[in-house]
Amino acid sequence: MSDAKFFAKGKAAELRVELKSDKKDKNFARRKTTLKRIVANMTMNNNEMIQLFPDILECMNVDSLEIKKMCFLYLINYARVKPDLANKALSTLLSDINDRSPLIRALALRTMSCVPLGTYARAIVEPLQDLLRDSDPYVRKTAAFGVAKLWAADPNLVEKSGLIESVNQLLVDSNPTVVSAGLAALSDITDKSDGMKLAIGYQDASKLIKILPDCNEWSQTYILTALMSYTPQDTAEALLMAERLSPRLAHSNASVILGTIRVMIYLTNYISDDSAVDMLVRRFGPPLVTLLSKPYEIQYVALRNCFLILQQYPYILQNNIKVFFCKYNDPIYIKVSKLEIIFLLASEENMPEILRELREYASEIDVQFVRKAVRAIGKLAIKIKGSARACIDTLLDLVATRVSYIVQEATIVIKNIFRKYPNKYESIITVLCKNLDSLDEPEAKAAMIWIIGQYADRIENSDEILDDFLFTFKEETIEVQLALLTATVKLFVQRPAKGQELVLQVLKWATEETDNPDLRDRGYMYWRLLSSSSGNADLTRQIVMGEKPAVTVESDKLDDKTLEELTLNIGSLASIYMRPVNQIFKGTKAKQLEQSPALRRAFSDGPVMTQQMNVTSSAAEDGEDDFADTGYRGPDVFAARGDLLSEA
Amino acid sequence: MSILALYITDINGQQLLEYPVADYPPTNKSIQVALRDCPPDEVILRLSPNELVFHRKQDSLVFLLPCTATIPSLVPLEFISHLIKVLHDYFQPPLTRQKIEKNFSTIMMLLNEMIEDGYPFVTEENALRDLVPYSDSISKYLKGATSSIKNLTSSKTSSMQSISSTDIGAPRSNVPWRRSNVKHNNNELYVDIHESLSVIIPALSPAQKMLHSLASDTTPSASAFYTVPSAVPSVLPEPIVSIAHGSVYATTRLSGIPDIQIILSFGNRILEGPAFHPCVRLARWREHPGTLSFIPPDGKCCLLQYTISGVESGPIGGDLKTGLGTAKDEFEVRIWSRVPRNVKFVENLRLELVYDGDRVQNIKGVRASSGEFNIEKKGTGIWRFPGKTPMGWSSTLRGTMVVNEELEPGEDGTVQQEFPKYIKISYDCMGMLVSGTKVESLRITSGRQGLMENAKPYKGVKYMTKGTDIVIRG
Repeated sequence: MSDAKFFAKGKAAELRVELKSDKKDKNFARRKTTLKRIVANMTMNNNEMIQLFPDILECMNVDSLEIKKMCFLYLINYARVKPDLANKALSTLLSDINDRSPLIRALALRTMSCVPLGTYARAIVEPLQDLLRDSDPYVRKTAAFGVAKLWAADPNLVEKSGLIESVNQLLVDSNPTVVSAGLAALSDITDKSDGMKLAIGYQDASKLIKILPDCNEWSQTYILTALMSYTPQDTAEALLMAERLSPRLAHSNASVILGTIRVMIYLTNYISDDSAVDMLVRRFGPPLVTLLSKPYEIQYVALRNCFLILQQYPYILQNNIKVFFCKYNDPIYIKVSKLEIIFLLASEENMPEILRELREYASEIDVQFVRKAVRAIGKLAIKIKGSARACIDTLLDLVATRVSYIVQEATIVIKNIFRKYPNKYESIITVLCKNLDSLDEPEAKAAMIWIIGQYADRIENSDEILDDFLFTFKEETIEVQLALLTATVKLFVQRPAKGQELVLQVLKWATEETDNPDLRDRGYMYWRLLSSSSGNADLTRQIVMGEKPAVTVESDKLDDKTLEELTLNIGSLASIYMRPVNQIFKGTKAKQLEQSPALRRAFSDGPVMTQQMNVTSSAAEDGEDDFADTGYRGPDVFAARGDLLSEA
Repeated sequence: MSILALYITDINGQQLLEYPVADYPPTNKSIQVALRDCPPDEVILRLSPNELVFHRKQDSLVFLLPCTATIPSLVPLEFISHLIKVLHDYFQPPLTRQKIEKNFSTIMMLLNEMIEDGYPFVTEENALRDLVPYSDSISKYLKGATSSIKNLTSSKTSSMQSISSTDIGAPRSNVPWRRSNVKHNNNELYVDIHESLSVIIPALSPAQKMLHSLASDTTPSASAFYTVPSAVPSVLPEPIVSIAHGSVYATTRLSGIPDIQIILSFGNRILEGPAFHPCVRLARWREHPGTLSFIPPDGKCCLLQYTISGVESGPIGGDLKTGLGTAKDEFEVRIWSRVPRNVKFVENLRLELVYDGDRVQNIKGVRASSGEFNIEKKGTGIWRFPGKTPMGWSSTLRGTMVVNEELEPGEDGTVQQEFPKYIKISYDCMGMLVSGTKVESLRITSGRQGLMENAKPYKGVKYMTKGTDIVIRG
């Protein structure tokens, strides 16, 4: 019974003989085996199989589900190549659609909606009306998807036929699977359609949430997606829905969990009571932790979305930071995602624990991760003022290891610490100066050179150190050359006697011997500054040593509007990349919070609101609120609020 | 938001199976080209602004699922997990190229049911068994399988019946996750609870290190003198993280539609984020936490997954000491078993020694008081204890890392001595759960009509703790 040998030499002629043989065929075993060989060959793109079309047409009438399934796979695969032969199968399929077995009815129906031929599409329209009211739920759900597929192939045909209205009727079906299939079909159509929009009112949403536990996990994800089209009208309504949804957080399917979180966060935008919101979002913590025991790919998506949710509600897992501690054998993308969350949740209270942990990461084998850990320590010094000293001590401890890439990374972050806290931690400069030989990367060199220039008057031998760096000036990258130029000028401004010779040399190189316009421009600028204001040293000093804007690490933080947009897209690619939806999905309209009396916003954004108003007043697809009074509902009736799931 | 196609390839990207869903999906060829250019740790591949590829390696195969960009990412990822589970259920793990090729048409028919209109649809193994019969195994088992013939034949007879019933088109089961017309000659109900233990133990503090090094220096290679040394050291660092991830499985072979109730106790521990199989009645659990009430799918299913943090660090402990010996260049790893109640031994005990493979060339002078130690790949040595390891036992491994000669010496003219960075311990321990979780009762509450009057179903409960990720930092 093995299919493996079927690939060998599946000669079409040979297979035909097998199919047509007069020998006894108990339970069609021989024909089943032969068809398996044909399907196997077909899947391997053996085009010779096309010749067997007439023989397959004959087989199609055998009364066996398995044989029919294989024949229909063949039909779908080759219909486009041989439309004439494919049309000959229509009569069989149309009779199977009335078979007494629901499995065969459903199979025939599905096959017909998959065959990419106009004749099939036209032939299925009429039977579909009956099949949508079939006595068997399996057939009804298949019919719902059939309408969606047919619509994708020929929208006009479907819209004229009244099939969409019939699918709409499925939403009051007694079987939850059928309801969700109907909803799936409608969502699929409205997603692709320009003129139609899914609108879900309170009654509808309430019913969907009620049937949710009885649906299979995939239907649940579909319903959860559809619930984003429901706009609560007051706080109590939104709160009640969120409460009723929260048991879904205990599902074993990760996409159900994340889908539930998405809808619940969406609903909090319509809840005015802060303590109620607080209570709801606290429930996200445990399920998010559970996702961390899933396969790495799922963990990764969970971690990225955790990061997003924690930006808004850090307290959910603030006391649980240990679950994000890395193991040496985690893949690098998991480690980096965890590190970002640790950074996000850091506070003065948990800092000792975090620093111990980061110190540990800094001694790992994976260089890329070590660097990120060192950088994180430096950024924490800037983020949390009260812990700066402890962070710096940890950095110095790391510099003492004399491991080249650790020293370089530490140098880079210490430069930023100096910028954040001027004149505060200069005592550590001496330690850095002992490790100059380790620096061979441009970014680290430039950072060190900046430190020397900035503190030229406090470093005893700053002129000698700079001179050492200048020795290789011409071989350095532009980044380092620019740093050297500025640092030398700073040295001169602060200690004219020691810097005079160096500054002349560097300005000469920068203005006469370089091909780089940036370097030349900056060289000339300093040249003129120094020569024109030679009488006013204070002014020069003010310009060269002037105060710089403070560094922050907050630039990593998403702005409120992007954050809101991303939380409406939890689980999507946008939430993983942390980039606005319209940058990720070209041509897709970003989901926006719909206006409602209950809508609250943590931030004011006049322009966005007006923009939204414009959109709603110009396009009918958004119009259910604005046009409610005039009774205008857009081209398709089912989109009206409250009608979608109304009682039959 | 839809799935465009499914490809199964071998490790080298050679296509084994193609299942197109959309009319003109991206080809495996174009995906392979894009995969080659993307960083190795890119979980989701972006093929074009509107197409993503989700991929997962499993056994010796790669599953590729191109989708439209707007699909919620966990849907395809969970779908791949489900597909692998179904294929394991039909064809037994591990999945191989041969198994895929051999079962081409069955897999095609399965996919035909599992994906509907570009979205995952039926993925429950029981429902699929009704829709896609798989008869290949029957003849094989009849020829004579060696182990547990009883179980196999009893479940296979029922699947044979379901084949014939679906072929004539009998109505399907009303319980979506349960096969219709389940009949078994031997009725059985097993509950298995597995906990996988994940622990991080920090390095010894300097004070602890000193105490330890004093002890070893005065009695060099203590293990040579004492065959059963007093195992557990008095000072040990507290674990930073110690989490048990638990799974409660039910394996049922019961005729008809049985209703089952399991009462679990978790001591005073708090379950974090329990996740349930759809068959479990959530309302009952909320009223009586710990009570699982359900109509099971036929065969094996995972009823409940939970997480408990702050558990004991398990029956096996270990530590790592460095800078020992006269030249201060030796390390010593110790591993020991504690004596928990009801447990006589652990199995498959092994310890991984992780070090910087770029700096360390070899390990010399390895002396292990028991077990076998081998360097298995760059940067990892494995110390194995085959078979059963008794409780109240311990073993020691000592050695010196040979630093790569090509490394540049530091300022003082010497190359820094290397030591192991981590040790990772793993084992299987039957008969206990590290969190103390227990089954208090196990009852079939109704639906016994299908059973013969005097046939009492066989019931059993098994516990296992799997030490999967016990990391001790050096």
